[in-house]
Amino acid sequence: MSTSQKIFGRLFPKRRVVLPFLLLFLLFSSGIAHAAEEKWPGVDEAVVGKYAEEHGRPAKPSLLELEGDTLLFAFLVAGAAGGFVLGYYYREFISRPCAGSRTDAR
Amino acid sequence: MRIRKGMAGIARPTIMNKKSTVLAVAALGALLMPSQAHAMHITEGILPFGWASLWFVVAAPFVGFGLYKLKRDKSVVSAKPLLGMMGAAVFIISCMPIPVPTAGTCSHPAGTAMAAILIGPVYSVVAAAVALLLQALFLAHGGLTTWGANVFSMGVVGSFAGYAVYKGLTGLNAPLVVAAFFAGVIGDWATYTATSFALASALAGPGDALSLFYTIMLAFVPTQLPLGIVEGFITAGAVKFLHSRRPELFGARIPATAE
Repeated sequence: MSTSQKIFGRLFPKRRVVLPFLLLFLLFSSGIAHAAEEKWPGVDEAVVGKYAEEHGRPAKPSLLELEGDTLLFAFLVAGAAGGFVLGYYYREFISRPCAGSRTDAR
Repeated sequence: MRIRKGMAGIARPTIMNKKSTVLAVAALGALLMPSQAHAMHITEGILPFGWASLWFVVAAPFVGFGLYKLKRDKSVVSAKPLLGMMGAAVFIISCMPIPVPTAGTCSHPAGTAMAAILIGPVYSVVAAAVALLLQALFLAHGGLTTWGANVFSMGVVGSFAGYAVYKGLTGLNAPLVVAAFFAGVIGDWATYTATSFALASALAGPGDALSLFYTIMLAFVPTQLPLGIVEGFITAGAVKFLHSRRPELFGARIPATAE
């Protein structure tokens, strides 16, 4: 083990990496999040939209305006399709045997 | 990590160590957290025509070069599963709002630093461009007129900043997980810094652009500071997990696979 690896090992031992991560995970879990606030605007409203409106450039409706539950439907379909593609290619990626040779695409 | 050679000479992990299991499970948990749907890219119509066009011109060479390489590079065929996987991952991650209790708002990670580590920044830009186009068309997320600015901030800046940090740290012999973590963090923060720059330059007058840039960047801090750290963990978890499955991937940007 090189000196720099030892230094990184001392700076980031396993417990110090895993424990803060678990605390962050708990902090961001939906139960605590919903208890803290009821409304969760996106930063598009809270930051981007706010400053755009202040400078006279409010957001315009998108090409396909989704109203009511159609937005939920669109996100559900997108999530399902994205998840399917991700899972399909993950399975193909993992199950393909490696020939042992390396190819750099650079 | 303990590995053994399989029957076909394939290196496979026998036991996934505890840390990688926790990271992978927690990253998955972070990915699947329920929340309301809010868009975070620069929304349709916010940028004036001139600025929107300028960002198209800035982003176009990166996207064009990525598409050119995709067409010409023969190793891409064997790396199709990884490219497809990263394309889908960037699409999902970049339209997944995560509630941030410290700010009371929602925002999303970019996923482009992770993609840049695994498939290279050039292909990561293409993945981001396709994801942003689909989101603008079908999810009211971002916009067609602001596509160029969003591709520049999330695709170009997020990918190249994350990749530079990853290469720099691995060059210093930093552990893979540490390098991936900081690549994810810096990739996320760099993305929102670029978004602030694009907004400020378009919205402010010539003399006010810098002060508006700092104002918008500071407004992003309560949300993006913790979310950048979350993106770091997601990136580190994904890289660690894939490294445990396919270690040869990290010896080359795109792995060769048997046909």
